[in-house]
Amino acid sequence: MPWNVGIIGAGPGVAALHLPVLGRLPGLFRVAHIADAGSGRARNLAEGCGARWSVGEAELLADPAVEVVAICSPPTEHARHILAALASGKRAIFCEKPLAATGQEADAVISACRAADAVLVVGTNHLFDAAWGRAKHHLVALKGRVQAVSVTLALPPNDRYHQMVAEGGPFQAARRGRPDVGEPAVAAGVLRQLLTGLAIHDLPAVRDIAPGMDEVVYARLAPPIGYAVGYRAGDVLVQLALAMLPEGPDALWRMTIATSHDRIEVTFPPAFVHAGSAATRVRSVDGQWTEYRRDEEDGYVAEWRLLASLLEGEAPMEYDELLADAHYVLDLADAAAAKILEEVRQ
Amino acid sequence: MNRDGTAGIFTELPGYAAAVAELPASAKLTDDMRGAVVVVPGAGDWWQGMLAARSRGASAVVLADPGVLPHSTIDRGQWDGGIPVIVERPRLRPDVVADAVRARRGSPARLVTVECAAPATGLSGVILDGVGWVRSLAGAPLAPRAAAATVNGRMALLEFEGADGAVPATVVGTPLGGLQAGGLLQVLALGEVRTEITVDEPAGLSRVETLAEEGAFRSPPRYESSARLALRHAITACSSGDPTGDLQGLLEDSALTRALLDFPAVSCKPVV
Repeated sequence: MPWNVGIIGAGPGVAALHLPVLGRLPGLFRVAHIADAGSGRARNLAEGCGARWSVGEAELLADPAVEVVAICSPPTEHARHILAALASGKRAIFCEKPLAATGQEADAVISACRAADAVLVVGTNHLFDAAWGRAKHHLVALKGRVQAVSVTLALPPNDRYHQMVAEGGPFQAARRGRPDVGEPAVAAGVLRQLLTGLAIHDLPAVRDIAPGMDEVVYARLAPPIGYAVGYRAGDVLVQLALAMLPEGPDALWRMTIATSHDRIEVTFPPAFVHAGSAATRVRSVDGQWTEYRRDEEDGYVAEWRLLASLLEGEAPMEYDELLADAHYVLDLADAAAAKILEEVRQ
Repeated sequence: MNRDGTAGIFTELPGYAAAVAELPASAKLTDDMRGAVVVVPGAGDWWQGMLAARSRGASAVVLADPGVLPHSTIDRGQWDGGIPVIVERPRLRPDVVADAVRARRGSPARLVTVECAAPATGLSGVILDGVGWVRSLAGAPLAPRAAAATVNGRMALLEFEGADGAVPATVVGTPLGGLQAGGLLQVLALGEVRTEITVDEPAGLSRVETLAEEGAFRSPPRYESSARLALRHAITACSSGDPTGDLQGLLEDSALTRALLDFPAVSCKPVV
């Protein structure tokens, strides 16, 4: 029997991503209930998949049919919704990234999940991509010493990809006025938001190979919207770059790992669409490039499969890893934001 | 210039002797520097090599694949121009650079990333050319903003002025093990048009790809040797008398690269 899922949130991530993904896994999950915060979108989405709908989270959390709570609300609500789900007796949670908005919230959430013996998956989809698993295996097998990691993103508007997996729209919220990033505190806030919203896709994977963070070397916003952040994690140099563009070529989402012998490139497909796993290329020390085949399934599907495995007791819950991932992102975001402010003071 | 209209080329480098053979109507080898295009090897102290060539009557200098010299070696006051200097940078060929810049059709780069990897002895040269790529794509002077170094690599943040403010450019360089000489240089210029450059010397690969909303364009490979291209430019510069910006560009790139190389490395145990 599939697990019944109740989804809190009815935004683009639900319409264009989670509903189609759950539709791909009919033997594992069934959407039972969707709740919005009053936008009216839940009703449309729920009617399309034969689910109940409601406004606010209370009715959904009180719904005895809901076995798995998917939290796809705004990031600042994630921790509150997880705690509310646990308080209402739910013991299986999928939470969109980020897990929490602050370190304290993350501590509280993981502590509560651990105490309740609840299953929790955070939707850092790249971490679950089979290509990343293979790349990590390659790193371990060849024992190359990791020297540097680069994560480079160049993203056209998401709507281009929403249109490939959903109808209606536009799915993107209307543009608010551009923030005055000439104001350091605003710039620091924007950078923090970009890191916790976008860099977070890959930072758990980066943490796997470059744990810790000793020093933020630089942190800059890149106009119109983007960042360049460099930091040192032990002897590993990490470079994060983002350019969000009003138009342009298809999304580039690439992680490169430079070791003492190899270079491993993992290029993820654009967000929302289902183009299989990331593509992995390895450049060996003699200049030979090897390109590995893509898997049919992407990280979005894989993260829900993992949730099913956890529910069946086939995989262990790693609360400490989830907490460390959350702190890694938040600590980096705070340190990078502080770097911007520090440079202004100097 | 010889009586038959060919330019005399003074060189001890086999690659340049081959290039002269590939320019039978324009160039001839000579063992006399006077009036000749003198090829100064870029290994070692090429600054002194250039000064010596000029003092011995060279009509132009081709500086072949120069390395990065210590700050103290270069006294810019010693070089007052007078003869053209063509700098051959195999990883930063002017024809390939022109292909890359032209394909962008004036679309500005919003962010540039450079990743360099090479055996330790050649890494500085690859970083030098990586910086040169940023300068070429930026079309503006670069300013160093931050740097860090570990025992395993170096990173830097550079900036240049764009239409909407300062544009960041990042550079990372890491040493490679193995026995292969030559390095790997990967450059990404992000923006409404994206440029992806890969120069992989051991793999024999030089690729420029330009991506826009309508699709991707791969610039054609360049089959002329880098040495022949440099000689042609030198011969043209000799006859036209037009100044070239090669040396200025090299010195700018060298200063930035030197600053990165001189940045003290932090040695630390891996964080667990």
